Amino acid sequence: MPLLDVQNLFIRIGRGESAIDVVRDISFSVGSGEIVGILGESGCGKSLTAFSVLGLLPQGLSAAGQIKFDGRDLLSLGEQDLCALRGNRIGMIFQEPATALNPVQTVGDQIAEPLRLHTGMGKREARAETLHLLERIHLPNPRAALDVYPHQMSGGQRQRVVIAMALACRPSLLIADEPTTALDTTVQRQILDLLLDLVDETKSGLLLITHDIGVMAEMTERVLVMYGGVIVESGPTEKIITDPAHPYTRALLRAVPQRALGYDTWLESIPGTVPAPSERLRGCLFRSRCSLAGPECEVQPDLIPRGPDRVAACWRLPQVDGSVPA
Amino acid sequence: MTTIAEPASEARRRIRLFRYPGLTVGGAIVATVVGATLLSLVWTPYSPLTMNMRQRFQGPSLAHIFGTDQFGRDVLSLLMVGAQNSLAVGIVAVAIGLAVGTALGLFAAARRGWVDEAVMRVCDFLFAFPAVLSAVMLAAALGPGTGNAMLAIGFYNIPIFARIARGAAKGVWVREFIYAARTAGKGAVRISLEHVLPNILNIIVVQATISFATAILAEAALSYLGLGTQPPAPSWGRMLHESQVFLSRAPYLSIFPGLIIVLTVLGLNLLGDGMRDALDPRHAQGR
Amino acid sequence: MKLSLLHRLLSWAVTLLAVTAIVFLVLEILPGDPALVLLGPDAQPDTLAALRLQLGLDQPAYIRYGAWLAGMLHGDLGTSYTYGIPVTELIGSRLKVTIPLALLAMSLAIGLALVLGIYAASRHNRPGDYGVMAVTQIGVAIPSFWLGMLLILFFSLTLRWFSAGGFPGWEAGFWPAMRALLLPALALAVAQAAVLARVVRAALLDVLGEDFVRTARAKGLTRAQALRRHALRNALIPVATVIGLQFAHLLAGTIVIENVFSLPGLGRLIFQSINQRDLMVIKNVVVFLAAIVITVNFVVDLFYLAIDPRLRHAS
Repeated sequence: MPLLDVQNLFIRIGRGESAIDVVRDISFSVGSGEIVGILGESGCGKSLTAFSVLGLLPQGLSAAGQIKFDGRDLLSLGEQDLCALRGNRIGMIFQEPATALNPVQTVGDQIAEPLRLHTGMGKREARAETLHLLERIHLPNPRAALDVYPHQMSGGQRQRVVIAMALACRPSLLIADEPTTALDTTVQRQILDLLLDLVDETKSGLLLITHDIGVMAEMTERVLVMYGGVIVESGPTEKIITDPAHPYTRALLRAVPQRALGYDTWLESIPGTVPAPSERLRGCLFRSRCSLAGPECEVQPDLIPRGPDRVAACWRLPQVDGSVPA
Repeated sequence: MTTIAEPASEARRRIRLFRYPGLTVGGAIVATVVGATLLSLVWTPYSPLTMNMRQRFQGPSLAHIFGTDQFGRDVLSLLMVGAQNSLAVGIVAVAIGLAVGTALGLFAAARRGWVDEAVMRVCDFLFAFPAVLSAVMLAAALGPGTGNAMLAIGFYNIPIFARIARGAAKGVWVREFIYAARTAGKGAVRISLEHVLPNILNIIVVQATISFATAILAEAALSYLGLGTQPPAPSWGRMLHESQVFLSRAPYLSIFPGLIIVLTVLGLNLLGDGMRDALDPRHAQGR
Repeated sequence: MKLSLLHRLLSWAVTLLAVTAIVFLVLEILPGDPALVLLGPDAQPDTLAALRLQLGLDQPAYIRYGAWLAGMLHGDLGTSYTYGIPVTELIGSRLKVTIPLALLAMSLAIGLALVLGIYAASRHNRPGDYGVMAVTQIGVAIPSFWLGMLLILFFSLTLRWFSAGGFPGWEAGFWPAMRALLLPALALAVAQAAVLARVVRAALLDVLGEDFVRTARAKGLTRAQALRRHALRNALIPVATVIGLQFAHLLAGTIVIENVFSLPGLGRLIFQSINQRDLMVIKNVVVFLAAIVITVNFVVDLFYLAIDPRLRHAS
């Protein structure tokens, strides 16, 4: 049984008839010690998916379907049970370390907080454990860092603190939402290495949300590519990089070298933009930007097997050997 | 699709009408008060100054819906005429605060640096004098009167307008069309008047509405203390002061003038908040 | 930190000096002849001349101003014209009413505002929130002196739980004195509480939208815990500013409220002094009240340094 098993997850804004699905029918799983990536442009629903696992969707959004963690369905748990899991069995690493930390509380207190909340440690014990955590995340001068405020640290150091906070109670699942996006390139490298080491060491599962193909290629074993709230392709990372199936994934990969030329993002390099949830009609959402689009794309494609462990949602792909035609 | 779209937009239109209930309710209250005040210039149910000792302390009735006071005067008529005083003090006081404060704020934003700093320090300083305190000083120096109340409340409003104008104007000064105006060779004064002021006007108008409400409260307090409008001219605060002696005998004498003040201030505040929400939808949704 | 502290201390002193200058200007220069103010327009010329000499009005203005300041530094504010006792003594005895009244009102206002503001923020965009907002909207619109009259009407004249005014003095014991201050403090507090509750709510909503509150929730804190431990302290920064500004209003409000409830405090003193044209008392009490306002704002500045480490380390 996988550590985290998400089945037919829907996330919707609003209630009743005017409700809009921003994430539609996605399924995936993360095993212990496994790193699974969700790749997509901003607005594709990948962060919402991560937050739905913690039960921390913004107000007005609700999730339906099944999110099983350790055999328990998180969507049917009460707030109290969820609080007992958050920060304890599931740790979350955020995108923006500058704002993810409380500016008026010392770093030490902030890391000690989940320890005191979930493990019943006393003040002194939690402080000792915090020091240990700071050493583990290779913060220079960890003892001094205990009593320092976030604004006195560099961005990379802050992100290490956020990671230490997520790790504090030795969670079996880590969720990292764009953990390196806000950091300099050299610091990105160090943070990614740290995450790899930690997963290797603790054998926890890692769900890594990113828009960066480089990060995804380096870190993850399996990847889900999301577009407009649905999964358009998923499979082993290596296979998807060397042989992308879905036209969207292909466009993404083609766009990668352009970053080296100095473009900020690769978004501009695919013509068009992601349709807003309210504009999403029937059919394949990518068809307006797709070079292969044809009349059959007016109907939404299912995820069709594309070889071992691989699926892609596109009508226009040639049949692949070994796959069972839909 | 189109058949569904029709009722949906209908519903949306209805929502928009109720989106700023404060604006509608506040506007209606203010319009009523202003209307009654204007009416009092030409007509009141009874003569507000004629005493009638046989009609003293008449409780609310059809003839006198708010009753009569210790001199047998009709309370409604007194309130209507008293409104002239409240509105006049409010208008002049806000005008003083608005004119001087906005000018100071525009000046500070245009000059920046030490001028800006100096203007803000002056504002801090003025904040140390709440309206009642300035009114006390002016009354001591020049004797109490309507003019002093206007001045005191006006002074109190200066730093409020100065800060708001400065903050908003600073936001405008960094916009592109200002650079365009500067490259066209326009001076700071001209830019402030032609480009900055029109862009901050809506914020100023909203503040004027809210300041008007506080001015009416302050005027009532001052005339309650006898530092504002002097008898025999009727004023809301004065009426409340005189009614206090008869609190147990004729409580309605204290209740109605107070309710009118609350209603007027409430209406102005609702109107001001409503305008702010309508002008800045972000504000309306968020908080 | 030392530098910013020094800076604030300096601006506090300068503001205080400016206050004395303005008060002197308005009360001693503006009316033309203070002796005339003291004695009123019907005064006899020879009485006027005698008083001028007694008050040192034959001296030039800057010397009188200097003497006033020098006296202030020595704790000598002159002698009241009507009461015939030193103004310091007069202020001191009246402060025993005004300061407890203001503090009681402020605590009531802060307590009420925190309860209402936190409740409204935690029920954001739900009926409870709308209810609180409507109540505060009305609270802001109620004149404090009128509320005082209503409280007297209801609690004193109808229920007879409190006396309708007056002050038994602290000699009568702590509780009887507090009892006399409760209704006036409540009358003062309601409007301030309404304003402050809105500020608390808005500040909390601002902070609740911040990432670090989400972080706190991701650590496993409940909504209420996240609000208490993380949002509240950050929200206190804007709230403290408003409390500082409100204290000025509150102090000014005591002038009105003490007259409603006939409390022998500074406000009543200043009001009586106007009627008695006791310039010596007026000018010193006005300076005193303004000085309290300025000092409170100065303390609020210090409070920022204590609450926000970012300011502490800023050079």
